[in-house]
Amino acid sequence: MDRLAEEASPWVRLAMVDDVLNLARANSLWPLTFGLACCAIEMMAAGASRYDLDRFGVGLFRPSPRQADLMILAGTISRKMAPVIRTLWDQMPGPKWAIAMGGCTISGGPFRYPGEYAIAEGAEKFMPIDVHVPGCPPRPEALIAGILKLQDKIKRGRRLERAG
Amino acid sequence: MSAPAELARAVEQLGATVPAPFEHPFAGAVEVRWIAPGRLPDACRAARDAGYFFESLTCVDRLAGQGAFELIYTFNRFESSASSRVAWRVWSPAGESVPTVSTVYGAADWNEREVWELYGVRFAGHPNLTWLLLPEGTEWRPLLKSFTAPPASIYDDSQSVVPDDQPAHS
Repeated sequence: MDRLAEEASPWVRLAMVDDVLNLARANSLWPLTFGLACCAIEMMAAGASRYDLDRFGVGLFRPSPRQADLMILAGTISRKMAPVIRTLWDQMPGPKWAIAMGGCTISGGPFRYPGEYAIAEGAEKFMPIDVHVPGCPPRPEALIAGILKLQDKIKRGRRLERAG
Repeated sequence: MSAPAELARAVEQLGATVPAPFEHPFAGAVEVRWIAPGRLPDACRAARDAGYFFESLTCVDRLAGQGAFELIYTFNRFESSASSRVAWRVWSPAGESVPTVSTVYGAADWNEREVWELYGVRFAGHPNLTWLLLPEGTEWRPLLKSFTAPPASIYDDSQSVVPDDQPAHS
């Protein structure tokens, strides 16, 4: 079978069912309608006509975590909000992915300083993140780049181990 | 007589006094008066009856670590375009509570919760004095002058909530 696959590979692609599924999953992401702070404005811009996330199959923002498989964390996470976000994440059915958009969700960003008392220092303190999009806030192009990166990762069927 | 001056005269009937020049002048208000904590609801009622809305409540930790606070209530009105803000300053001695003004101005409710959670000033008669911005159960008061950093435990990564999930899917 391996030999056959090798010989046929220039003409025939013997995809595993998973590969096909992953292709479908990657090109039909359903993000959660969910904004935390100023990054959400850029996320909305990315979803609107000018940048048009629909081109990548990501345009249908769902109002319920039960219908979403992508969480775009867009904005500052206060310590009070963190458990709420974790609950939303737990309510999303798998397979699911998360994008940390902006400095705050990556590390606390500008709110990280000695004596800081109200802001969670990065979303990874309380949930897993697949792709980080740096910026303060990132432009819509950067978010799109992050989504393309995530789609790449989903198509490969595993977590990205290195960039590129 | 201008409306702020009239109001100031009215609260002077309640024992309000003009701050002395050396007492940290409060800029931005045309009339500033010291109000005794016990007369605060009456002074606020006077402001409400004169057509003023509640603008803000802020707190100053003047004597670091002593537990005494200065509260500044500001009021304004829509009727005049010229500066018309008035401010009531209240000195809250250590260990004493201040009467709530949320019964006079509903908008003061959340302001008082914020001052309580960030400074620890207690407002007697407040309907729901609980945490507004900080997580429920927070015990430290981050805006006190004596505050340096929250307890180490909330920074402890070993307590962080979540383990990495299984790979995105198998």
